[in-house]
Amino acid sequence: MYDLIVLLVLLLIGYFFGRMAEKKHYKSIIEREKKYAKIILIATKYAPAEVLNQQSSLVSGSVVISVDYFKRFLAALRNFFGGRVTSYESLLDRARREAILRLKEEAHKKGSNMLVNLKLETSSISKGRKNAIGSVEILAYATAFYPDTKALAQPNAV
Amino acid sequence: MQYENPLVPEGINTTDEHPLKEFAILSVGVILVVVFFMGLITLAVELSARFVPFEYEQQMVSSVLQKDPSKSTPQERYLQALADKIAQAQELPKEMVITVHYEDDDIKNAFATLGGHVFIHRGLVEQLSNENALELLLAHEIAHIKYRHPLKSLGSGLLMQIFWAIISGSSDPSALASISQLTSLSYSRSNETQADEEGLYCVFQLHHDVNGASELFQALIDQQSDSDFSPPKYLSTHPDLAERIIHLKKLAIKKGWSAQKKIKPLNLIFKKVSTTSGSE
Repeated sequence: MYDLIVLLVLLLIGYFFGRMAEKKHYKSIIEREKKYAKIILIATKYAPAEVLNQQSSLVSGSVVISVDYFKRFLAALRNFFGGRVTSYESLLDRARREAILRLKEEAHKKGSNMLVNLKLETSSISKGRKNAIGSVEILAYATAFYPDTKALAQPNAV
Repeated sequence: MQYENPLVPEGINTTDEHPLKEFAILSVGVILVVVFFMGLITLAVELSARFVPFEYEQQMVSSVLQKDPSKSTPQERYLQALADKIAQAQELPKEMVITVHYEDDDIKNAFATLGGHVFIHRGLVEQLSNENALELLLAHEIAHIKYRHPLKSLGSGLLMQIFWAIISGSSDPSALASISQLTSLSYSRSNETQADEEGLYCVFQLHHDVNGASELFQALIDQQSDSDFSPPKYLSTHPDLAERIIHLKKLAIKKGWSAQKKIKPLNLIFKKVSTTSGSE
């Protein structure tokens, strides 16, 4: 009986705080995506000809985001029947977009507005504590080109 | 080449469906599945218990429940003789040997466990004032053994644990220890009713009268009402004592079992030494 009460309390906490955090996060994501829309971010492996003579560097953005108790419980229930684990979908969607935004922020600070060869990597942080830690890291990295510079030494560097 | 990053519309990688809706649907689904399988386990155990030889039960507990007949007390010998009489009246198969253990302590409890072992605590016997009630108590516990309730309880308990381990994804072998459950076997309500009915029938067979037998439950109720803070264990596993008295009275009327004969008082060997509380 006590187990059930504890479970319900944890679920309620998870639900309300998780829901609040998600709402707030999405609001901020949408705002910042508009703000950085002018920075071009493409996934092609080779840089366009126009920027080839510019200096370039690696930029990255990473985020670690944790699952709340409610989402985890919902995903566990989903395990029985199969199907879309929607509770994790929104979590990973947020993490991916946040990582890209941080990438763009770094590029913006360095004065770049062209990012090429975007790559995303996802890893779960649980290391033997599968049931205790449910966090995920998303790393986004790309090559930034700086329009105000001319790379003289290696004109073809990507 | 011209590049641009248009804003992507929302709701492609996520869903708008409310998480609580999903939660409700999945919870109900899981509960239904669990209830179904628990029912299945109970039914399987109920049907298969009779095919397990009683000898296996005895072997299971032989290492922990041993008894040296030469060391038994007069009370134990008395109860053992009574139990043998009752076992005969209940027509127990001859391999089902009842062993009575009389525990000289204040615990108000009695229980039957695997291998035909019946434990009677002094605390409970002291509450009784007549032989019929004592006989009902013994007959009730022996009926549990006759209908293989300890085995069924153990079997379904173990299967439930395995089932929970499978669905929760955790496998803890220590959770499957069986012998530690010997004294904590709990019987379902229908098992209790079955043992009550068989017990009363047995008392009737012995005396052609059931007068005073239900005092067993009355004693437990009285003690429940004036007990101190923690209710005795016997009560927590045997709820609805009043209902059980009514059920037995109805059964006696239906079967035409009389309850008028003079009742024989409890044997003096069980008489309380101290006189702190008066009994009627």
